[in-house]
Amino acid sequence: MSRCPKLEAILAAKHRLENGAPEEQAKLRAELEELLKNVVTGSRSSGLTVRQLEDSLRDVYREFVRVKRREEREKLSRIR
Amino acid sequence: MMTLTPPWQAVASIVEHNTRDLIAGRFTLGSEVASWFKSLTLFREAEADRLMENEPTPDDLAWHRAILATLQADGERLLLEWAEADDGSRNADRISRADLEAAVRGLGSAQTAWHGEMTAEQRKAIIREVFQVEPDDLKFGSAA
Repeated sequence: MSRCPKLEAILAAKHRLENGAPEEQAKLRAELEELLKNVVTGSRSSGLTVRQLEDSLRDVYREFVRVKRREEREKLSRIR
Repeated sequence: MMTLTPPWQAVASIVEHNTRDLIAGRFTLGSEVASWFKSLTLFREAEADRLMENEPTPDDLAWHRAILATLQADGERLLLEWAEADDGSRNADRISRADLEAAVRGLGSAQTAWHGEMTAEQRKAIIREVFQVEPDDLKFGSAA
C-alpha cells in the first residue's frame, strides 16, 4: 500500500469543493485548478490537460470519499 | 423502463420543481440561485451515496446523467440571467456569479468523469504516469 501526498492534496481540494458552501465555490474551484495545473505543468506527460487529469481521478476519488465517509461515521459513533 | 430509486426520486422531484419555477420566472434571481444550490447539494449527496459508496447500477448512472443534465441546463440559464457585469458582486446570500459559474463547471467535470469516454485503464495509466504510483495500491485515510 502506498501514499501520494500530492494526489491526496488534490483529492482533498476536490472534496472541499464538492462539499463547500455556495459562496465559496469560485475560491475552492480556483484552489483545485491551481493544484491540477501545477501537476500538469510539472508532468512529463505531453498533451495532458487539466480536464483530462481531473477526469482520471474518478476512481481514486471514489475510494478517497469512501474512506472519508467511513471515518466520519466511525467518529460519529464514538461520540454517540 | 428505468427504476426511480429513493435518493434520485427526491432529487429529481426538487430539480423538476425548480426548473418549472425558473422557466415561469416565479421568484427572484437570488431565490432561484439559492434553490439551485440546494438541489446541487442533494444531487451531490445522492452521487456520493449511490455512485461512490456503492457500486452504481445502470439505473443509478442513467438517473445521475439525466439529473446532472437538467442541473447544468438550469445553471447555465441562471448564468445568462445574471448579467456578466455583476461578476464581482455578491447577492443577498453572499453568492457571486463566479461561484455559480464554478459550480456549473464542476457539474461539467462530473459529466465527463462519470459519463465520458475515458476507460478505467486510461484513468489508471494517467495516474501512474503523472503521480508515479500504482492506483490499486493507494491507501487513504488516517489509518493508512
